[in-house]
Parts: sequence; C-alpha cells; structure tokens
Amino acid sequence: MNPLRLKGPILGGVIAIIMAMAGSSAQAQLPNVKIGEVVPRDVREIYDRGMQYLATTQTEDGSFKGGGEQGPGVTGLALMVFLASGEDPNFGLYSNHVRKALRNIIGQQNAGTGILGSSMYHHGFAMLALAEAYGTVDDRTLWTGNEPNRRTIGQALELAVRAAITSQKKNTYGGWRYSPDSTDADTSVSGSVLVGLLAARNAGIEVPDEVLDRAITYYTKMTSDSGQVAYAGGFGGFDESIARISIATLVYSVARRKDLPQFKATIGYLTQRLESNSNQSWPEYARYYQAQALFQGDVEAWEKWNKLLVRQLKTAQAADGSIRSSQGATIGTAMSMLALALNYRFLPIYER
Amino acid sequence: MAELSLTCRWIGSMLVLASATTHVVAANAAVTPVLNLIGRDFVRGQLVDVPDGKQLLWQSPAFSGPLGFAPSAINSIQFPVPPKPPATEGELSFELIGGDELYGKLVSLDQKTAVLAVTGMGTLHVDRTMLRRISRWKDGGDLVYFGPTGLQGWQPSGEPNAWREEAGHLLTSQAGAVIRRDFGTLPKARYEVELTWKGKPDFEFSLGVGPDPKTALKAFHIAVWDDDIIAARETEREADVTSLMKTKDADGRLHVIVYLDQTRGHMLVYSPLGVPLGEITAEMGKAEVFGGVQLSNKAGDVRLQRLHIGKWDGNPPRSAEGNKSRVHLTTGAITYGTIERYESEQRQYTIDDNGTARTFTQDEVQDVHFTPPETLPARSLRAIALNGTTLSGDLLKVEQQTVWLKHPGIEEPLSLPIASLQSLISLSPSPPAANPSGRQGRLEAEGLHLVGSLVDAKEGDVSCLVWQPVGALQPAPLRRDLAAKIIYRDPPPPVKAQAVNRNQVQVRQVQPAPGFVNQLANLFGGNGQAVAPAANVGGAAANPFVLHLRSGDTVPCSAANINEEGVTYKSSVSDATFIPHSQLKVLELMPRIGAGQIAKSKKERLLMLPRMQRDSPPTHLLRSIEGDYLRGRIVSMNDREIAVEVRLETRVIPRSQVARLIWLHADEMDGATPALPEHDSLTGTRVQSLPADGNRLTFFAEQVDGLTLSGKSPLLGACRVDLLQVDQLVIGPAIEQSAASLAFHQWKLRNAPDPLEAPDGDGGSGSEGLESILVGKPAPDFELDLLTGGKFRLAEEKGKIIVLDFWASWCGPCLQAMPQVDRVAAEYADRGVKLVAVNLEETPAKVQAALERLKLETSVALDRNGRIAEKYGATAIPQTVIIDRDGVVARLFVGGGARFDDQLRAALDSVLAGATPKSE
Repeated sequence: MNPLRLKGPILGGVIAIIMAMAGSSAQAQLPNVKIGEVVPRDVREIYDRGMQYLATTQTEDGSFKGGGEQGPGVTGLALMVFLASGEDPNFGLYSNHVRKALRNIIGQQNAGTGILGSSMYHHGFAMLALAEAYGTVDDRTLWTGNEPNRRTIGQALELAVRAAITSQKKNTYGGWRYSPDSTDADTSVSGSVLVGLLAARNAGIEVPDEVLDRAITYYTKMTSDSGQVAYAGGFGGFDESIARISIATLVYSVARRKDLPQFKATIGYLTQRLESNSNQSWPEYARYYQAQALFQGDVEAWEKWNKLLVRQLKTAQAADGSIRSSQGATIGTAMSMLALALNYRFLPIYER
Repeated sequence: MAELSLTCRWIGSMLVLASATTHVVAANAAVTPVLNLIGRDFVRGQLVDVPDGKQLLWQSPAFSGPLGFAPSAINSIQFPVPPKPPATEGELSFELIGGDELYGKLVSLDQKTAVLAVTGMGTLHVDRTMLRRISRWKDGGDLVYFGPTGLQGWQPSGEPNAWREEAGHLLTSQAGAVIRRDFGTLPKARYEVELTWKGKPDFEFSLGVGPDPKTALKAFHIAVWDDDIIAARETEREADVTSLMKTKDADGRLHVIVYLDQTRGHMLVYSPLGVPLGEITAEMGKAEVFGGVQLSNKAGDVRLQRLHIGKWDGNPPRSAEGNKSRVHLTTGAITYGTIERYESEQRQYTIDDNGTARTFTQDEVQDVHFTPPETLPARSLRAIALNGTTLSGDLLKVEQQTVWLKHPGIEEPLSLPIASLQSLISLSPSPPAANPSGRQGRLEAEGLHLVGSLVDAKEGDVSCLVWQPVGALQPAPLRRDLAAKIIYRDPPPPVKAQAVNRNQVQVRQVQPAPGFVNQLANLFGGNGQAVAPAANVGGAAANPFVLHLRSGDTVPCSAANINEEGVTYKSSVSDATFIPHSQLKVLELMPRIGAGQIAKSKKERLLMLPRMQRDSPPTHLLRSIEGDYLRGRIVSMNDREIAVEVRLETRVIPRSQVARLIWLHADEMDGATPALPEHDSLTGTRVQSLPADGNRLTFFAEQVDGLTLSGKSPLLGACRVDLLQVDQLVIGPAIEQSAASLAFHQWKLRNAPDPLEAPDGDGGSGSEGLESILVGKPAPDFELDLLTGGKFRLAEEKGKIIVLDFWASWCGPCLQAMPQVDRVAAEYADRGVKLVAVNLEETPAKVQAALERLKLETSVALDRNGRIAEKYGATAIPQTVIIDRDGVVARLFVGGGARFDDQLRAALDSVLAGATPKSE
C-alpha cells in the first residue's frame, strides 16, 4: 500500500535549483546532480502543456476526445499522466479529471467477467492505471451520486486481476492476446496485462507467483540471444521492435528477474541503440516502454536517452500541447508524457 | 578502440567546384528575341513601342521597365526563325545599293524613279540611283536552296551543340565542328556563299560532297590556308589550287558566287559583282557527282550566313566590267548602255547603246545592272525579313509590333511587322563611351550579359537597383525576384592544389564506438600542446574568428559563445551580437588553418549518417587543430571549453584544441534545398556583397547613392557597402545558388542507404541475377590477401566458376545469406565452383570471430579498403557475383533472402550449362 504523495513543495525547490544552475556554467551536463532532484525546465514545460491538452479534451463522461482509439485503456493512460505529475490527485488542480477518468474506467468494467473494455490491451492499461491510483486516490470522494458499477478502486482492481489470471489460464503460451478467451498470445498485448499485474501486486493485490512465472517464461521463450523479441506464436520471426524489446526488459525488471540472460540480452540491445527511438512503426508506443525499460534496466543509459526524448518531444509537440500519433492525439500525448514522466518518478511503477 | 591508419587519396581544393554559370545561353534561345550590343553583351526580351526614332525600347523579363538604346548602340536584334520560313515570291528581284533586296514586279522605270510592286509591301517609289541590279527571280524557280534558315535539315557532327543557329545562320566556335547537307544530284550548279567570322578563321567549305564522309576528301574546297583563302581540289589523278584573296583583305567576310561543273571537275569563283576571283580544274578518273555541301571549322569561329543554290546551264558568266550599266540576256550576251526606261505594258526595257536605242523584253533579260553612285546615303538600321526581303533606313517609330523605317531613296515610309522579321541590324554601330558615373561592372543573369553601372535610386515601387548598360539611353530597374550577379572584379582563377605524396599522408580515422568519448581528450589535445589563439595580425586583431552564415555571409567576430539558441559574439563590423543555429554554417576559431584538405572518402564517412542515428542526427562537426573530426551536438561553448554531446554523452573539450565548428542541418540532408529564410518585416531587393576581403554580407538594398549601396540586414542591422570595395554583388535567389557552391556549404549530412529488404515469405527479389550492368562483362581482376594467409588472384582462376560473396560482419542479411551460399558452393564444388567471401573493410580478428559464430570455414578474402567492392559496384550487401569459366560476370545478386539458396542453385546450373549473357 502506498502512502499519499504530495509533491508540491518539492517542485518549488526544483525551480530554485534550476535558477541557481543557470548561468553558473556552460556545461549542460550535471554530473553531480542525483536523479530525482531536478526536473529540467524543458521537461516541465512539455509535460504541463501535454497535461493541459488532455485536461481540456476530457469529456464529461471522463473519456478523452482527442480522436483515435477510445476505451478504458486509453482513459487509463491519460489518467496516469495526471497521477504522474505530482499534483495532488484528491485536492489538486486536476483532481476532478482524475475522478472522472477513474469513474469512466470502472464504469466500463464488465461486472461478471471483470474485463475492462473491448480488448486485453484496454484491460492491461486500465488495470495498470487502477493499480497506480489505488491507495493514492481517496475512494470516499470518487463517487458522487447513484452511478452504476459503484465499485471502489480496490474492488475494481481485484476484479481485473482475477480476470487477467482467468484469461491466462486459458492460454496455451501463458500470455495474453486481444480476446480474453484466446489460446494464442503475443508479446505486445501480454506486456500491457503483465505490467498491470505486476503493478497490482506492488500495490498489494494478491497475484500468485505461478501466474507471473508463467508469463515471464513466455517472454524468455520469445527473447532471442541477440535480445530481439518475437511478436506472436512460437519461437522465431525476430525483427527490430524497440517496443517489444523494451516490454521484455521492463517485465524482467519489475518482476525482479534481472538475473535472466534474456534480461541482459534485451537491455544490451536497447543500450546499444539509444539513438533509434522513433524509427519505429508506432514511435510513441515504443518510447513509452523504452523509457521505463531503460530507467529500470540501466538508469545511466536512460539519462542519456532522456535528453534525446526531450529534444524530440519539444519539436513534436503541437501548439495545443498534443503529440499527434497514428492512434490519435490522446494516445500519442499520454504515452509521450508518460515516457517523460520518468523524470518525475511519482508513479509507483516508476520506482526502482 | 580500434584506430585505423589509412592512407587516403587527397583531392584538390574544393574551389574546383564550378561556380554558377555566368554566361548563360538560354535553352530557349531559338524562341526569344535577343538584342546584341556591340561587343559580347546581349539581352533577351521584346521590342516595345516607341513614338520616335531616337531609341529602340527593349523590354527584358529581367527588368521592371524597358531599356532604351540608340540604334548606333546596338549590333543587332535577332528574332526567332520558324522552322519553315515563308517562300520568297516575285517575278524579279531588285538589289539596291548597300545590299537591300526586294522581290516583286517592276511597274515602271524612268530617268528618275523606279516604281516597284513589292511582295508584301505594296507599291514603292524608288529613286533610280538606288538601283543596283534587277534579276529574274521567277519565284525562285531555278532555285534549289535558299538559306540557311536554321539547323533543321542539316547534319551536324562532332560535339553536341557545337553548332548553333542565329537569325537562321549556322554558326560555331568549336574546333572540329562539321555540318553537312545533301541537295540531290547537281552536275552543274551556281552557289552564292557568304561566310563570316570574328576571330582568326580556319575553315573548309566543300562542294560536291557525297553521303560517305570520305568523298569530302575529293570534293571542291574553299578554305583558309594561312594568309590566303583558296579554292582547291585534289583527286587521285590531279590537284589544283588557287588563291582567291588574302584573308586579311576579306575582313571577316567571304561572299562569292561559285559555278561548279562536277562532270568536268571545273570550279569558277566570282565576286558578287561578277569579278572573277579564280578557277580550278581537277578531274577524277571516273567523274562522280554529289550534291552535298559541307562546312568544317578547324579552329576559331565561322558563320554560314548565306547559301543560295541554283541550277546553272554550264555557260561560264561573261566577264563583265564591274560597275558599268548593262543588260545580261538569257543567251549570255551582254549589252552595255544606259537603261533609259521600262514600260510595263510592253514589258520592255529601252537601252541607250552609244546613242542607239535598243529594246529588250523582260523575258529576254537575265538581269539588268545599273551604275551605282559613288556614295551611299547613310542609314542607321537594316531589317531582314523572314522571306529574304532586306531593307535599310532610319528608325521612325515602333508601333503596334511594327517597325517603321525611312529609306533615303524610297518615297514611302517602310512598315515591317516584327513577326515578319528575322533580324534588325545596326548599320552604323559606334562603340559607346563609358557611363559618366558609377562603377562599371557586368550584370549577368539568365538571358542577359550587360556591362554598365548602377544609377542613383531609392527602393520604392520598383527596385533601387537600376542598371544603365553602357551605351543605353534609358536605364531600367531590376526585377526584385531576379537571380543575377553584378561582377565588378572577376575572381582569380582557382589555384591548383598541390599534389600530396600519398605515402606521406596518414589520416587518422575516429571509429565511433561506445565509450570512445573518453578518448576524445587524447584526440583533442591530449598531447598537451595547446595552440595559442590565432595571432593578432592586422585587422584580425579585433575579430579573430569568422562566422559563416548559411546565406554565404561571413562575419569576422570575437568572443563567441554558444548556447542552445545560437551564437553570441562581438564584431566590429556588425551591430548585432547573436545569430541562431538555424542560420549558421561554420565558425572558424582559427581561420589561419584555412579550408583545409580532406580525403574524399574520409569526408564521405564523416557526412554519412548511419541508420541507427537517424532519430538523433549530429548537428555539428568539430575539427581539431590537428585535422581530426568529431561528430556530435554542441551544447555550449565559452572562451575555454566546448561541451559536446556525442552519442548522448556530454563531454568537455578545451576550446584551444578546436579549429573549426561546422553546422549540419537536417533540412539540407540528401540534397534537399532548404527553404529560404523568411523576413516578414523586410521587403525589397535582396543583395549580397562580396568584397575583396571575402566577407560576404547579405541585406535588403534600400538606396544607391553614388558609390554607396545601403540597406538593412535582418541579422546584422543597417548596412552600407562601398561599391569600389565590392568584387561582386549577388542578387535575389542567386545568393543561395552562389552560397551553395561555397566550399563550406558542401558539408551536408546524408543518410546511409537503406538495405534492400526481401519481401516476407518467398525471400529474395525473385531475380535471376541478370539486371546488373556488370553481367556479361569481363569480371574486374583483383588480388586480395586471404584470411588464412596467401593471396587470391582472380586471373589465376580461369577455368573455374567463381562465386564472390561480398559481406561484412555487421550486416545481418549477409550473415543470413552466408551459410546458404557456403552450402550451395559446397554442393557444386566437384563441378569446379569455388566460393570466395570478400569481406569489406574489417579487421582479420573481426572476420575470424564472425566465421566462428557462423561455424563456417569459408575462404575469406580481405578487401581492406573497399576497392574491390567498388569495382564490383557493391554499394549494398550482401552481393553475390558468379563469374563463369571465361572470367565473365554471369550473375549478380543483391540482397540474399530466405530462398536465396534455390536462386543460387538455379543460377549455377545455368552457368554450368554455359548460359552467360553477352554484353550489349
């Protein structure tokens, strides 16, 4: 169970540090500054603008009208942007946005199966968002009237975890696929569900070890010696997907399995290619995982990579604060901000 | 870190990169009228209306108003000639004194006046003293050819575009240029030929040339031999040669009438007035008759202005007393005497033959000659119409696209529609005096080349750059969007780079690798020999650095600092102190080190962006004082240190070790043309001055006042330029064109080429390996060290089928293909197939490691400098080449793929069966 985190005062301190730094040296490198002590101005500006965009595009029902894909997973990603900002989720500037998003997610949960949304992608991301909100957002102020599905965050999360475990049991490979009843698996959908489960366990929800072990074994089978990670089905079909390599790195890390040779292979692959992070089919999706994978796997590499990320987002961000993507501006903006949010480290899943 | 020592080929200074073309001959030269001034100046455009005859107004697309020229200031105006010019119709041709020529009917002739009904012009009353000759024309009935009227129908040979056409004339200044044309079989013919030249002539004009070029050797020639113009012929039996005139007496023009009887091997040459110049006879064993004409230019220049070919009855023209009044009859007889009159009703001339009146009908008369007066009346212009009509006179006006001339001997004003003209020639050109004020320069743009000067003007509705060509009565402002240059002083010819002994030059290559940044300290001055800043010599004291902008501008400056936004500096020549990164190209911290030389291959490597870095391209190149280069992103610079991010790691380098910073911009990659900078607040004529000290300055011109050009620079503020100090003024879009050719501006990143990816599933391109141009050609021979020791020489392998597999250990598809190739080669080994895997530019240790990983024992040849790969065009690997038993390239595959083994088997089967395609 995580305590409430109120980071307002710390932000003030950050500004003071930056002011002190400016003009003192021409060196941009800040070798003695420990991680977490300073959030560069560029990061704060990009993040604030991105968050503003999401805030202004949120509708009354809690979803986001930025275009593209909709559903509890998308709402969950946007929700995490508010949670990761350091603003107080219960009383701060965006507390209403947080509650609306949570009501939207829980409202879409199937009361019978516990599944969130139309595919396991949604389920995984929504479950992760619930896990991050659990213990942080006060349930007593969540519901205002007589809405249906008036579950607490904890109840919804627990239900979602059960649903994910049930789905895995039906799966031949020990992973997940779009449909909860599928026997096939892929490393992309599985990543969203497995990270959600790991976050839920970190938040105190019971997730049996064998569930996680089976999923990790699936990933080890899908990881080649070179560090590349296959997409679906059995072994083989490797190509350079930074997203999947990052997902594998992240799940090995969060599952505390850095001892695996597969972890060494995937993190090695990523650190050798720090500069290729947008030459991908869905660059925002790749960066979302790449940020967390590098942060968990090799924080020094993350520091270097983060500079590139900031530069890229600075040019990619539109005047309205959004980051456009082929899956719509909500997903593009949310995933980009979450990649950047490692600079804040307020989300539990970002703890090392 | 592996540090390779490479011996590299050094190239000459980048000055050899040609500067922008200056003297432009527009591609559409044939369709745009051109006004030629005296000398080599010209300007394309249109003749526009002018109410009086004082000047010709000429509107060029380069100017916002017309230029005005006195007729005496121009040389000619040439109008486009249509492919099929109108026919020359008329019963008679009338030659007036001074070369005018009209066609039509004779209405009447008395002691004072000749009345002519002229084709296309109506009735003209001509003072009879103007008449020179009246000849039978019969609509050109005896005419075989009347021209030339442009290149159409002619066969030029030699270099392309060696021949040009102008006003229908054929001209060349290319040595060795030859042009010919066939006119059918002409045993006896009369040729009127007019050739002109400007320099020292050296040409050969040949008659009686056949389709076989060898026949030209035995043809009849009029040619330049040293100081003489001669007529000559040499057959296998006889040779004859005679001098026609001295070259210097010809004074740039040869105008002759040639009578040629090929059956008798006889050629007679006369002046246009009928004075014999020479004759030759040289028969062949068996007479051959050819109708071809050929002009070949040995050196200098030559222009074929006139070639009229007519039938000839074989009777040599009677020698006539040049200027005496007379009648030539069709019988060949000549009657001397004053021409009294002509009556159109009887169609009859009356001649006073020493007191006896004799009459001849028009049909009996071949031509009538009049005694010309001693003096010619002065006229300023001659108009030549497309149909051959030639008229001279003084300009009255230009109105509604018609030129009006007044001939002193013709009563009526002459109207000549511009559309009917092929040229307008000044008859009294006089070299103009220089402009009274302003510095004289040369304006160059597409379609013009004009010596002149800028006149005082302010920027307003039109540009403040107002050009007064030398000799022009009326200047005109340049159009603001014109790309042009004013050249006040030509740059010195490029200095040839000194040849460098290759063996003495060692270029250290920095191989970027993880963690290599730690080595930078060593590379950039680890030897502790800090070099002092550039010596304070002369004017450089205040401004020791030089900033080069992307516009081509250079700003001498000092105290340069760099931050995220750009460069902050101090300069005694500019008010501004900051320039953003997007406008910068180079900062020379030690200008004394100069542009420097760099091996081409090294430069290409430095500027090649690996695919892995596409998302994070470097933004700068740093050149150390030792000549080493480092690629990265400059984060900041102060007077002591440069912080540079290299592959996302930031390191600090002492500034004293860095000679130069070069900016690499993403918008100029792969040959892209960056958008022009926009300056919303400023409008006007953009100019760039190139002063003698080389420090370019770009600004918006606002005023020309005497020798001062002033304006505003978006970067540097108010600017004033002393035109006396300027070598060149570059105008409008020519600034970017000119900047693009500067040496520093050649430093542009380009993306490494993408590998050819095989489509999923079937793998490979499905190709049979026959597409390469190398297929069917002899395989380039080579000799390389083998990994296991010893050498591989291709020449020694004749009789075997050799498979060359070009690869490198960093190339994934190569490593995929190699086991397949190895396996297939092993299957075919007993049939004389031998595999050699040619490794590209890797160390033996790396190659060995890769082979061990693949568990292969393939024979590997080491192409350490990539020369062999280059010979085989291996720009993308894997590339697999099959060479047949005769040493000919039989197949060439690029790209491997999942089914490559099957492709290779099929290819080897057909090569074994002897199916090597023949080279075309």
